[in-house]
Amino acid sequence: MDLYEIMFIQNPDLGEEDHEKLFTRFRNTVSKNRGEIINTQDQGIRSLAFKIQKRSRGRYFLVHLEGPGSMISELERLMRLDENIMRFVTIKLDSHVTREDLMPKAAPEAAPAVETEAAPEAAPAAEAQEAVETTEEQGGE
Amino acid sequence: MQRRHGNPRRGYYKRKTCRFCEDKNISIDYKNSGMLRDFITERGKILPRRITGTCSRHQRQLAVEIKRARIMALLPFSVHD
Repeated sequence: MDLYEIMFIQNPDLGEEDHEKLFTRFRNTVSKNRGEIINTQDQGIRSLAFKIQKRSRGRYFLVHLEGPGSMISELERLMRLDENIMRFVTIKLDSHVTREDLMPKAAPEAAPAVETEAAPEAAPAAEAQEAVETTEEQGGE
Repeated sequence: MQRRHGNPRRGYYKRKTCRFCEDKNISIDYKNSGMLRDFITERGKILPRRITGTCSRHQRQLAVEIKRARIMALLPFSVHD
């Protein structure tokens, strides 16, 4: 089981109800593949650096999850088919990132700061966001 | 004492250092697009490390994260008029 980070841009005009529907499908796919969602973050509607599907704004979501690689291919298929997902990126997190680092509300900045006081060797953990392997979609502009 | 480099006739300059080696707490992350903006030109191109002073290891990581940020429309691929 590996840890992954998925960021996706959802159609900003989508209603809460449709968004819930989309997310339920997402969650079902994860649980069907014996995965688990650790943390989800709604980063809100932000303006894009360039237009995607003739839209200049998008609603950003960040999801951290754990599961087998087969789950990721299943999720990517789902996201590719969904018209309301404008763009996504999946990142396999570095092996020294732990589940605890990704837990909700545990501020990622606060944790390494405490560690540095105790042992300076713990500092590289701050670089934990570094990823090894990626699967990226839709490179073009 | 500060290390100085260069030809005396051309004047001395302070050696640029890698920002990520100086401060190990900065993580190079595509989500931090504000920080990545320091490493691209006005046109959106990735700055060479001879300009920014980034070490080769961190430059490689930077390039990957800038490209990820571009895919997620956090940074532009190109800025044209």
